[in-house]
Amino acid sequence: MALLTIDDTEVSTTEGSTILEAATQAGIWIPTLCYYPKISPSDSCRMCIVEIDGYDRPMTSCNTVAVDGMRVRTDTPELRVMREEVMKLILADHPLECPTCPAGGECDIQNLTYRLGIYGTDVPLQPRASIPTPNWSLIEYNQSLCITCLRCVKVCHEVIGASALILRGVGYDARIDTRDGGPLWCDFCGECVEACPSGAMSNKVFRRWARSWELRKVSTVCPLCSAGCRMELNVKDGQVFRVTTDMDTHNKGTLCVGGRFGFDFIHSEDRLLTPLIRSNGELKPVSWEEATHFAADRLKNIISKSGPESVAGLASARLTNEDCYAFQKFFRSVVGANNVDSEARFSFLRVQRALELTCGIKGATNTLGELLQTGAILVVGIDPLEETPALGWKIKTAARRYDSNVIVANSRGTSLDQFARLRLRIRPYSESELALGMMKVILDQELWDTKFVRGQTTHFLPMKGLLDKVPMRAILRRTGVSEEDLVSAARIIGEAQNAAIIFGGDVILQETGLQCAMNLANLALLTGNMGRPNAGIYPIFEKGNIVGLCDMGVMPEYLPGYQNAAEARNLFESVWRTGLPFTRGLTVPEMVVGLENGRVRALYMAGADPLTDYPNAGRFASAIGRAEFVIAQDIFLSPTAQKAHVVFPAASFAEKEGTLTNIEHRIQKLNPALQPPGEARPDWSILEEVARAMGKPMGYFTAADVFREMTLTIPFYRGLRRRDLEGDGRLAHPFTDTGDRLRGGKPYAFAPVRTSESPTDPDSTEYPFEMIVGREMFHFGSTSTRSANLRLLTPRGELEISPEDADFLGLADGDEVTVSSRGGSFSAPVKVSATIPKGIVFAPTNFPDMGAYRLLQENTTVCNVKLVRRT
Amino acid sequence: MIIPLLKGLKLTLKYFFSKKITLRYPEEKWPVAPRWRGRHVLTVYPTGKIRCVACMLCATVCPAECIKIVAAAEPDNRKYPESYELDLGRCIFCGHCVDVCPRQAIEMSTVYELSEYSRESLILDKETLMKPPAERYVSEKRKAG
Ligand code: SF4
Ligand code: SF4
Ligand code: SF4
Ligand code: SF4
Ligand code: SF4
Ligand code: FES
Repeated sequence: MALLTIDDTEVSTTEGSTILEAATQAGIWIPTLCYYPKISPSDSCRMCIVEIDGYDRPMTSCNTVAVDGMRVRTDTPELRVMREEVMKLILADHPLECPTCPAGGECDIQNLTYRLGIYGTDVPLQPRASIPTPNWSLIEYNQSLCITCLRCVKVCHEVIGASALILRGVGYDARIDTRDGGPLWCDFCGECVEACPSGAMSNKVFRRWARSWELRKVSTVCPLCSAGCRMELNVKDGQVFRVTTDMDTHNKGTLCVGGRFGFDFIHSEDRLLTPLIRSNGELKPVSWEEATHFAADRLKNIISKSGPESVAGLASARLTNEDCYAFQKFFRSVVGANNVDSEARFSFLRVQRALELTCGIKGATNTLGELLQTGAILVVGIDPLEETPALGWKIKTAARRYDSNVIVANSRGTSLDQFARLRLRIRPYSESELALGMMKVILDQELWDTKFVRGQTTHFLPMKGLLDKVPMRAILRRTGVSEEDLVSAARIIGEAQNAAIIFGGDVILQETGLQCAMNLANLALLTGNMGRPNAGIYPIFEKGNIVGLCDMGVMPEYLPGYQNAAEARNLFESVWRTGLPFTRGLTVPEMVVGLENGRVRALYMAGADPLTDYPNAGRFASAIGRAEFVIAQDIFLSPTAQKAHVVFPAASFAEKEGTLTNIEHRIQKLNPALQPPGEARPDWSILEEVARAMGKPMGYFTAADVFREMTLTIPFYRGLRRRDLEGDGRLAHPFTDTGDRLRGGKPYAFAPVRTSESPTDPDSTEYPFEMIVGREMFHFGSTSTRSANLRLLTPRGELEISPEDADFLGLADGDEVTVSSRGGSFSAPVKVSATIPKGIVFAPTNFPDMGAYRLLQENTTVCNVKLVRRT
Repeated sequence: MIIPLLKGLKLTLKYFFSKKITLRYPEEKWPVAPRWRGRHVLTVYPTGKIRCVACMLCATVCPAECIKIVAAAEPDNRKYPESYELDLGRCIFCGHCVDVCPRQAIEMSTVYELSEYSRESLILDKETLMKPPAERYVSEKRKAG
């Protein structure tokens, strides 16, 4: 606590805060230009000067720490003169192009001149003649408007960690430039635009431009990845012009390229506008009336002939919680079957199972914000830049500002490498063994948390028995990591006060993801990093509402809220006023088998695109051809929807109400900014419409009705009101009480450890390359590939290959190759990338027209391929 | 009795022989003051390029909210109005738009014959607004300074 006087007001502030912060708290305004709350002070504009008793010259308040007993004056005639001088010097060479300047209306220079009453400058005007950078993508820099305050440079360096910008030149020539002086190539988060006090850094895709005061800001949630950043859609005339942020949010007003620029898929020309029905082999537009009745009649017909079990449903992480809830209710109460599943089958459900068995939780144990205070962070099988950039910034800040020891274990190079204390370049799919190796070292060196393990866990000894049987040599061979590195990694995690373990898509998507997640959970338990603040385990999966999708019970095994039918049947039957099915229901692989052998006759897909997103896409493609009746509701005509018999147009996140749940289990509210285009409707209402046409309405008239029902049936939603979700939403953790029984009465339990063989393919001579699939850096799921802005950055999916292999095959950037496995083939341009190890090629799964998943066999993320140059 | 009658007749005769003030509208038209606020004109540069830079100030200041602009930018980032609509049915001819314009891109001509058969045709688009009105209606303002 420091007690000081600012302009005759007594202000008390926390130790270490600056005079500026203290004044802002007390509501006293001090003009600033280069100060930006997200970054450290750059102390370059001299606008924030104040007089302090006992100092013989004015001090900059943005970087002077408030000390007990200070007497500060912020507004004296002398200060005013000095500020005016500063402002006039800025105006001396400023072109004052306000009418056409992108910043007009929200410009700090405008606001300050106005507020300080400066109406001109007596220094002769010499505006710098400079044209905006023509060859940067998405972002444009105009030197003539720049006041070299360095906010952009620092935010890029300190918050994003991309460090793409520098200050070049001095005096009149001073300007912001890229490191190599070439076109900008960075993370394209747009933070520099948001930070710029003037119009110098501007959003280049704000082409159909509007003035800031005309735009209505609608606060909503970014649906593209599971970080769920809050953002504001800027709307005018039924169109989203740009995305801005408010600093007062859980993501501190920081967005990645997806949130900032990827929104424009909602205005894509490919949006579905009317319902379609297949007639004579072609999808033709029809009215809603006709489409819903056609769908309902066919469904009823199939149900009455072959029973409800012959209908299967697939939902997706693109849907809101309400949509997911309505989807599973549609199946359980209207169709009468438990056949609902989603892409989570191949990903997040594995992790949930692993964490439920060991820790009794259903997702991340702690919040993303806590990572900042974490002593050591182990990042396994994830590049946050590709999956959830918001997580990456937290790790980078933790590493840099809070000296956290970051260990990055990945088979490819990642964006975090330069921030890591230790980089482990492990062999593909050996994450599980890495965890085992670290546990062995931790046990050997007595670094484990004996008190925690004895007091709060069970099954330690059986686990240790199994672990002792795994030879260290095998682990080192399998992971390809040196013993030295393994030991130092183990020591960092074992010795840290608090350690967090983060793992992502590479772990979750592999066939043995369950075992791998259990091994990582074992490691967290062994080091006692569980059930404590600033520690814990974070399973990260890219897809938007994947957590909500699971919470809502879109899976055969659980009702919403992870409740067993055996226990919660009465509750649901009384709320839904229908019976619940007693059958077990089908998972995705079982649905595929069902489609193949004719037992599943109809398929209903809400937002799901199995041909692009599922690792068994190849098999799915042939199976779906056998379905008698396929219904798809989606915002685009996806490859799967093209095979449907009825297609309903759905509303996007910007056009509907609803809630989304992010990776830390934060339930947040979407606010509609636009009307749905054409005749599109929210997914829950399409389901309600079909249910009505089938004669069994679900009783929903608004998304709020669905939410109200969720609060009645889902234990961790009980008592929530929609208005509680304004702002940052609510954290609501599902804790399963059945877990205790699973874990022998203790809160945590070790899982048995097992090692797995590396997946090998018999035809490795014919197909010499191992192809791993993953996510493209500038795309999020397949939705964002419809964003014109993001396509500017990556127009097509590229096959990444190591420099050695490229040399050997004589391939260069941009050469077209055909990639084929036993399962199929696709063609793509090559990109030579130093982050890829030899013998491996990497294909992104985001692009529907590429369809990398179609090469894979069941449930893997790896397969052997050969490359042939296309001529 | 006859006196008031003659008085009235005197007045009648006085006007009968004085100069006529009735104008044979529409063949003849009243000359209006150069600062008359009539139908708007979007001015162009000598090259024919529109002066307006779509800064939206006129649309913002307009108290009748009758200006609607869709802004666009050329590849070199110069801004222009892709469409510019002005609803004369709502316009109150206050001239604020002219005052506020930083580019002298909008002016008011002295055209006052604005009646139309439908409300829709009172909404003028960019092309109509850019067409200079007949010579006699061109504002005298620029000459007046
Ligand atoms: S940066 Fe601000 S002051 Fe400068 S031209 Fe743009 S709006 Fe005007
Ligand atoms: S867009 Fe983001 S990464 Fe790129 S220069 Fe700006 S702040 Fe840096
Ligand atoms: S571009 Fe903007 S943020 Fe960067 S130095 Fe110039 S004025 Fe400051
Ligand atoms: S894509 Fe993810 S990290 Fe990026 S803005 Fe959206 S929610 Fe945030
Ligand atoms: S004020 Fe002038 S330049 Fe701005 S939009 Fe209106 S007419 Fe165009
Ligand atoms: S705000 Fe303090 S020096 Fe610029």
